[in-house]
Amino acid sequence: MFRYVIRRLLISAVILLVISFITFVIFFALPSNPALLACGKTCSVQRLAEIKHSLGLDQSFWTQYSEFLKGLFAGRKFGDQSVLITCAAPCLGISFKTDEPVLTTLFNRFPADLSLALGSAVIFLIVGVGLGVIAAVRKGKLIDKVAVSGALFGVSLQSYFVGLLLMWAFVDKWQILAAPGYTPITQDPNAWFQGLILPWVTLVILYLAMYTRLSRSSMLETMGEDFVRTARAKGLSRRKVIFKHALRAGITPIVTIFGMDLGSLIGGSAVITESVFGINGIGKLAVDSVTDSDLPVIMGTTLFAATVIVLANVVVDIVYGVIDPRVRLA
Amino acid sequence: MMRKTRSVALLATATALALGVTACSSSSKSTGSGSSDAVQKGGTLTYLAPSDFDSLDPQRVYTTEGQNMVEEIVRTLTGWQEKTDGSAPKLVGDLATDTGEPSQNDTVWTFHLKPGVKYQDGTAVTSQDIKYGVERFMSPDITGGPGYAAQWLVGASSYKGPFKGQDLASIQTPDSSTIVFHLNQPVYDFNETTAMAGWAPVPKAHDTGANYSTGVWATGPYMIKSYSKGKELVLVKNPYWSASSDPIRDQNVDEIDMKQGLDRSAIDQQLRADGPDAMNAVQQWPIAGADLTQIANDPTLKSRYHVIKSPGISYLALNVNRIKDIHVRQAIEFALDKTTARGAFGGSAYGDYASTMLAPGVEGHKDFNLYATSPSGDQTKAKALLAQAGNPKLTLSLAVENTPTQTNFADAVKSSLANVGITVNIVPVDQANYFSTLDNTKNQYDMAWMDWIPDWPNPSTVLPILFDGRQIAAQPASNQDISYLNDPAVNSQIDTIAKMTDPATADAAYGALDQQILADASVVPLFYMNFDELSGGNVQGLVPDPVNASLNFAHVWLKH
Repeated sequence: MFRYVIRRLLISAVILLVISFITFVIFFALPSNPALLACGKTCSVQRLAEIKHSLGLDQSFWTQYSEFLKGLFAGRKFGDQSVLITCAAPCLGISFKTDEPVLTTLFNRFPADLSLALGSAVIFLIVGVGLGVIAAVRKGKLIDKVAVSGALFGVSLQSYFVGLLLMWAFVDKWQILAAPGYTPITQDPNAWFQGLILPWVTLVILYLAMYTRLSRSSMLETMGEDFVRTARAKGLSRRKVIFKHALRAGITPIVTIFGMDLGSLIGGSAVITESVFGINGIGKLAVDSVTDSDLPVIMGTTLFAATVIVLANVVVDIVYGVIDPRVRLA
Repeated sequence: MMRKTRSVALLATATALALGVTACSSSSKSTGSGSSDAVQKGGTLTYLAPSDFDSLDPQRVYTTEGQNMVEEIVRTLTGWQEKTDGSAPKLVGDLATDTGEPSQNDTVWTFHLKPGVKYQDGTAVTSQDIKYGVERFMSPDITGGPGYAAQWLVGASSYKGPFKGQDLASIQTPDSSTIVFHLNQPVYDFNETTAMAGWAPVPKAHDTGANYSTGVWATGPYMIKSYSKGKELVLVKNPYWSASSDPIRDQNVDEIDMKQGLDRSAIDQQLRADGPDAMNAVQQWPIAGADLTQIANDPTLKSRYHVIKSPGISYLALNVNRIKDIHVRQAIEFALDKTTARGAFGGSAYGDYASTMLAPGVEGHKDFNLYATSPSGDQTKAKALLAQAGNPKLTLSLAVENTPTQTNFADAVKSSLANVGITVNIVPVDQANYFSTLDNTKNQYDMAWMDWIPDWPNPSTVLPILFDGRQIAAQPASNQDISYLNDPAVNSQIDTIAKMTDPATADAAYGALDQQILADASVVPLFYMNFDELSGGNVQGLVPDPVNASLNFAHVWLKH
């Protein structure tokens, strides 16, 4: 298992290197000019050249890319004036827009994404799988139809619409909840919880359907398997058959999807939810960096999201071994 | 200046003027209440914003929203005293005792500092700090910001900023309370430039270079308590700010808490509902187009709905290099239905129909209309002009931002021109890069939507910038003459006005120049731009500020 994990991590490093290179290539293929944006509207040719130099954009593609890679391990210094900005390793660069080290910005934003992702994921996993199991066990009954169609309705909605609707109802109209947003849990746990209720609900509405339907079909398939029939024949209780045998076997594909979803949520994929509720997470940072042509932040957010998803996949593979002994034996 | 999402004015081109204007200082501070209630102290003003400012660094900020906030943190040599009676803001000395003394044909400007003005740590502001601050403009590490200092100060074009220990000799500080600027040309409205945020002191000991925006050393009524870029900015009272020396600002609220990264529709929704979280709140980014009509027409919001009549202009540039026949350009002037075009931007709340490039709030504005008297156009006249042009079969490109509002606007233009037989190809350009794309002479279109807000309400910050054709070759990556008009008569008149000595004569000449430019039919003035904002029910003392095109916080207070 140890060698397997090491091998997966090495492959992951290669994948991240390729992603970083492709992101760099895409940025340089774009028509935007960050130096011109920084220079302002009436920019002389001389000042444009000076700013280009200050941002390091006057160097060749390969020099800039190798400097970026070098910074990951050795750190970098920016600016050739007496007021230097030092970026310690692992340095992802300095934002063209804010002049902050990208890693610092990512660390500042990460807790918001983690809170948003973990809170919603716990709910949509438990509720989604629960509804799926009930729907499978009660196949064809009213609860099955309600669970499946209700979840389908949820996934059909658009997060921007759901978010604004929830805000209008619970914050503006009835004034039951405070305006949503992110407060660090260390600063005020109550405000943290209250501020994330609506974002969590929005994400749950969007993700619930998939988990309900996936777990329902997976359970139905598993419950038709020979080993489940054998378990029943042995006289095991219905609860044991469902939860110990059927669910354990049926949950494998759900774990795969969950790992990917959780990884992408932590990596900032809930950008619309972040935007609607004013949660300044990594997704929003990524979108802003693209509109600002802020290459270091584009690189940082892309690599961060890729790293989280790649690691989530490694974790999923390890969890497979725990859930399914056949994987362990293989 | 730049709106966060819209372009605006900037640098006066190399042809500035030569008049001697010295406005009087005033010691009477406007109360700016907007309410008959007595001003109450205390409370936290919440500021709901979709994004962070371009910068809080005085020498880097160049958006209206950013400048409006920075003015609460730093004081500048001169400033605009905002009135509550609807009259024009008045230029007064802020750090300076008056609005400056010009000499040597407006090429030398001297300012004397008021005694006793202090930073947030209690140390005194000196003229050397202002010199150091202005010198920062020229450093390549201090990006953004207006380019006036680099353009006008003697020797500034080759100066690289103060970070390597070099100073700029054209800024002299004979003593700690006097500063003298030597300019390379006459600039009669230089003291209006010095009202911009960058003409503020920066203490060298506290300068952190490119990171200064998080630690701006305050001289204004508020100072930075915490600032997490893109997330939240909290300002608290500056204990060393002196009300008696400040003719512009009050210090009524205890804190200003700016929450950034909020959705614009969500902000509008929150402020409309005026719930507990919004009652003490303001917004600064204009109301989103889709919400504007509803909000403007809602009688229940009337007391909290603010219309800021900026001196800005929204216009359609007609590229004279590509639409060479003046009859065709004139036909477009007549054919365009401005009523449907304005509908796309949110209707009448967006602004009045324009017929000139100098908006009513700009000095020298002359009221004239060379084209259709009806805002819905005159298609008969347009067709006659096209007939004079030989009824060419025309297909014209139209560049707009790739937003729903602008796409609707483009559809309105397309429909108008289709009525007179002109086909329009709409070219949506990425909103974030719209102006940098259009400003580059490599990217030319037959027609392009543009807008412009002067840095201060003087025609020198409008017509020379937008219509001096010599800049097309001089600054090809940041050309502001999107009509590509390079009319020797216009260029010559710009130079002539620059040599005038009387402000009133210069203003009148600019008004006439506006008419001369419109006669070239290189531009269709569309609307004199308004900016529309909502505030919470407890917020009082907001003054619509036409200079910054935003709600001014100088006198803001909260009802408890």
